[in-house]
Amino acid sequence: MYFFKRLIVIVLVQLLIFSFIFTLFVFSFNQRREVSKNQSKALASVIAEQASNYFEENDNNFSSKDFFNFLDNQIGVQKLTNAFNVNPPELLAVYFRTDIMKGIVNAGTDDNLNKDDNSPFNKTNKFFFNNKYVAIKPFFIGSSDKPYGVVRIETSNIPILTEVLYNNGIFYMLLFLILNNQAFLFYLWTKKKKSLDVDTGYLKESSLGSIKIMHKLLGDVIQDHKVPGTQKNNPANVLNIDDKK
Amino acid sequence: MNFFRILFTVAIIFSFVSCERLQTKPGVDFLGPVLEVVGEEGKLGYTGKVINNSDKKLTNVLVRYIAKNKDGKIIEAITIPLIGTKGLVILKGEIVDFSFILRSETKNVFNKQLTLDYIE
Repeated sequence: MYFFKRLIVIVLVQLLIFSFIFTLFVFSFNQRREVSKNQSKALASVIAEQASNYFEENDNNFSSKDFFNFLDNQIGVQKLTNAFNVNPPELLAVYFRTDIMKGIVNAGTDDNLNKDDNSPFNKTNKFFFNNKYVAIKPFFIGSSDKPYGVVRIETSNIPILTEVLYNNGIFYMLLFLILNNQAFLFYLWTKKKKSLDVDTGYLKESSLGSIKIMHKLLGDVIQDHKVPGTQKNNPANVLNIDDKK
Repeated sequence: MNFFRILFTVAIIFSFVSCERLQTKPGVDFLGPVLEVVGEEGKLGYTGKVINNSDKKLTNVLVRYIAKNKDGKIIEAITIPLIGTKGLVILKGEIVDFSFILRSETKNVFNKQLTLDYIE
């Protein structure tokens, strides 16, 4: 029961340490994710601006390949990738308002073509959290009040997760060791001295055992001396110093 | 003696926590985002570029696309071999374009997954 209680305390302390490290990890992850969200929003605005320019010139002649090349010429896909570094956007979608209104495609938007946070199209749950971020920006043509379409950018959060682990893994490990060390020091600091037993005093149980053995040996020696004629029965291979004198 | 035991244990633990395997190895990657649009027939079309970031030439580079419906069932899967200037061999640093159109109804596509596969 004593060891079981100790084991429970150790497990609880380890859980406390792990939860502290996990909180730090979540904090770092959220910080990095916010940066990624802002990048995605900024990129969606840039693409929407380019889409407005493109569709003003090519209203009736739309080709995804042409638009992609247009973006490549205007911004440069290589620059886009380098700007995001860790988690570049996976999917860049351009949907027209007419297609969304007809129900041909679901863009994850509300009636005003703004992002609908509750739409299942904007979520992908994996590893117990929503690991997809979607930035949606409507774009306009000319002086029209209604948007011509939307730009939708999907970014995965998984690369951020691995990046935070990759960069801070050693730090978390060191923290784990240091916190364990601190917990052990705390245990030593608060450890109570055992109350002294009246019969044994300051002697430990192990010392008592050896003293008992010594006591038994001494008792045997005394007993041997008490028995008469013991000296005469000395075996031949035992040297007696008194005899030499 | 105990000190060396602890040191040895810590060294073993640290060797496992190096997190090197979390770092992505150079290979083929999508160059920028893949563009998705709804085509004239109301079908989803994809356009993108792939770059060989490794220091070797790669063969049989494939773009794999999986579309799932709202129940999580696969409704369409497409595999496209990438063809570079030397055929199926993609040279070091080479950029290859790809594009394809889905056959499934756009409104049924709920989840999309694009991956790259290759042989060194």
